[in-house]
Amino acid sequence: MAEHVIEIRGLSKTFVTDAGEEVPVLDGLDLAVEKGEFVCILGPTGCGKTTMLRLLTGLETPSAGTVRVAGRSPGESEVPVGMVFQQNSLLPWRKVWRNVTFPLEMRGMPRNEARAAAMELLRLVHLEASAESFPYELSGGMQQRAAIARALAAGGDLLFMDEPFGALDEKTRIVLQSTILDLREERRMTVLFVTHNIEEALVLADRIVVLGRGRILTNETVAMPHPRDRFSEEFVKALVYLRAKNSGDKG
Amino acid sequence: MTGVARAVTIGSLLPLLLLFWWYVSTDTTSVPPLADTLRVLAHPFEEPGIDSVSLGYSALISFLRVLIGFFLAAVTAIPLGILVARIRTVREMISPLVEMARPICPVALIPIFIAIFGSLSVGSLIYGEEAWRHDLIERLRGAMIVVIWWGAFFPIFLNTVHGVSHVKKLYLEVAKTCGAGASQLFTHVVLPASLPAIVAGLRIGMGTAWMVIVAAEFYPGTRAGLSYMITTADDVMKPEYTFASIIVIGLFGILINTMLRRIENHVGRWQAKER
Repeated sequence: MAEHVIEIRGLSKTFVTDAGEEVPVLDGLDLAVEKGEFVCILGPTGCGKTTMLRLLTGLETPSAGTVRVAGRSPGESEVPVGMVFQQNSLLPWRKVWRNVTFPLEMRGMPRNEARAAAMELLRLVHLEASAESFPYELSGGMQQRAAIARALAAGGDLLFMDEPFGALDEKTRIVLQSTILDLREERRMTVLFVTHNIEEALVLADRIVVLGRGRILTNETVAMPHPRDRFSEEFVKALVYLRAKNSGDKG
Repeated sequence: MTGVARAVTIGSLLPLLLLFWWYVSTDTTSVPPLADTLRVLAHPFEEPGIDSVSLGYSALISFLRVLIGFFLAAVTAIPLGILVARIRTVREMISPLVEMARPICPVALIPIFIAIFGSLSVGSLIYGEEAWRHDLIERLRGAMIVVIWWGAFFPIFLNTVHGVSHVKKLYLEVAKTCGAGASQLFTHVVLPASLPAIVAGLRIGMGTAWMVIVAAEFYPGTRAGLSYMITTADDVMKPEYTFASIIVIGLFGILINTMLRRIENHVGRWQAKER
């Protein structure tokens, strides 16, 4: 049996509003992700996919159920995780390279060593030329590249991504999608990628998990080989199929 | 450099016009001739000055009073502001007091401070009975310094509270996923993120300190300082000293403000886009 990097069992999360009202967001989720898998969590806004990622990265604690990431409970100690947020997540007072060294500094790596590691990661995301820039000097796409490099520095071979390309224009998004696929190939990473964009999920994922109303609606493997042609018959058919599944839940 | 040159050129037009008007005006009964005032400014340490204190020495005394009071305000307001912003109990305990004290004009408190601190001065603190031998620091009276502390404290404190409590939640979450512990969150996220607000508070506090010292030195019992010179010069019919003192106050203001603005722009350069 393959090794599970992420294991979720009976995971529930209920938020309590200021008025004291209980709002269930996740309701008894079970999911396991194997090492090296690229899993996309797909679903409409408010389906709980971001909450799921926040539970996995220790930013929220579960109301019920268990979460294991690389054998640990997230949030139980100050273990860094590779998380790429939606946008504007670079620390604006730090230059690009010092954003990448941030997780390394937190664990006490000497400055020189951290800098060398950061430059290597920036080269990997094709951003070494902007190492000395401040985040505000970068375009949205470049900022996300830097955020990916930082997440790699923090999390090594396990990457959580929360709609990382959602705020980018179409062209930039497509370029970054291929960057992340290359990275994944090169470093044999495990990726958990949250998106509401069905096409994006189909381009990237080995497996697509569709979430709706706090539950898993579909959990399907995508068999098409990379790189995937967005205009091939197979791709379009899969797209139509997933669209129907997704809108079926909403209606 | 052209930007600076342009700013200086355009910015000095109106003051120069004012000086020209002053120069050509013939009424010297209420306003001293420009030439006399410039002479005083050109030789600031020339004795006897007023009351045997020169303009330069008066300016130095005022400047040191401001500097010490401002320094005390900074070292108390910043830590207290951080505690208030970060710890709820402290906030609940301190806020009512601050809200009550803040609207009180510092100048109104001078008589009280004079009564409390009496002849206490920096000199008497350091040299005790021998303080009179050290004229300069003997003139740095406790009451003056405390009143400046009072004036500068609130802008620094309020800006610190605002800066520290408005650090974006996203930055804190990013740092947590990067493995930062509680103390690292503070030193690597909260402090750098709120630094521009704190420095802006320092700049505003410095401005307040200058306004307060000028008002404070008008009070009876003051024995030196720029405002003391302004009032006394008028009494002894040397209005050129009055005008020279006013100009020095203005020049100090520009100088200090420019310096602090530079620092502010430097620590806040990452905010360039938001500005």
